Amino acid sequence: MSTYISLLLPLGLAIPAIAIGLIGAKGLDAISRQPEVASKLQLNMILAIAFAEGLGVLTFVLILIMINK
Amino acid sequence: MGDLSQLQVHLTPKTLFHIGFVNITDTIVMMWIIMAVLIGLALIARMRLKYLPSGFQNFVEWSLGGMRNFMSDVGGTEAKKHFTIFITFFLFILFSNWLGLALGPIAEEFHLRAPTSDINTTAALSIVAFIYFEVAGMKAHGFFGYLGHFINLKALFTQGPMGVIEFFVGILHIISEIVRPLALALRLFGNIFGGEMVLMVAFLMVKGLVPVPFMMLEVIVGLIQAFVFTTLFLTFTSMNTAHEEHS
Repeated sequence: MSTYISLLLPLGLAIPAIAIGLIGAKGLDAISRQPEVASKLQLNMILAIAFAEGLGVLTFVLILIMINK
Repeated sequence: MGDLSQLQVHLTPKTLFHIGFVNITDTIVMMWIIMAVLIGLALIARMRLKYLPSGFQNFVEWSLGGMRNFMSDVGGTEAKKHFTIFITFFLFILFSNWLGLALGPIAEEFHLRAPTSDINTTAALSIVAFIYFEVAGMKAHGFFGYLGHFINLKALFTQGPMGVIEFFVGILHIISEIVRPLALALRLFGNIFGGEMVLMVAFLMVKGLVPVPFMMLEVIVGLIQAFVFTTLFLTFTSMNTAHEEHS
């Protein structure tokens, strides 16, 4: 069981982390190019980050269920 | 260094006592406290209403007005009709996240934890949200009109081969509609529960001021998650009530 967890945890957390980083980087790029639309971009950024983060959270919940068995 | 083997993972809340056949758990008691706080704040805010607000009334009006403007920015003027339920969700989630943190140090003694760190609470919240935005969609399009988005018989029989594609797109919509409340519930639960686990490990491993940055991070996470839940709810509602533009 711990082998599965040690494989699942880094994969399931690293990939959403990359996604969140990309969203943040691109969003900041766009904001620095056009500061007028910052509020709109930030909102969409946060929403997209929430979706990407949901995958990481899913991994976390799965691992908790595996531990608790 | 503390002993990590002391760390216990409680996915389910602790049952404190029974009323009839209903189990009253620690998260339910915490929820009662939060309800009392919210109702008390609302009563204090409306106790002495003045035409020219000052002090607490001013703060409440300013924050509610700001959120109202924000919501109409996101969901259009249509969203203002649904303002009450969004603000209720936002305040409840925010207060339960933050009170769970604030009462964290005495949590062990009195078995108090944030209601949002219990999957039953988040599931209940997301089911209410799900029913709300489905009914809002039905109100906007009519019952059969709304179901027509999912089981698109009209397109299947009138549009020929393109209609078949439209029909299967409708079936994909059913899946995405079912995933929405599941994702809402799991996202909120996972974030708050994960934060509590991180704090627990931090408090077990090191003493002193070291866990304070984690605490600060959790304060921000609590705000962001309340915001995200409300914004997604708002987005789903305005997506369901929006009238499609046919080209």
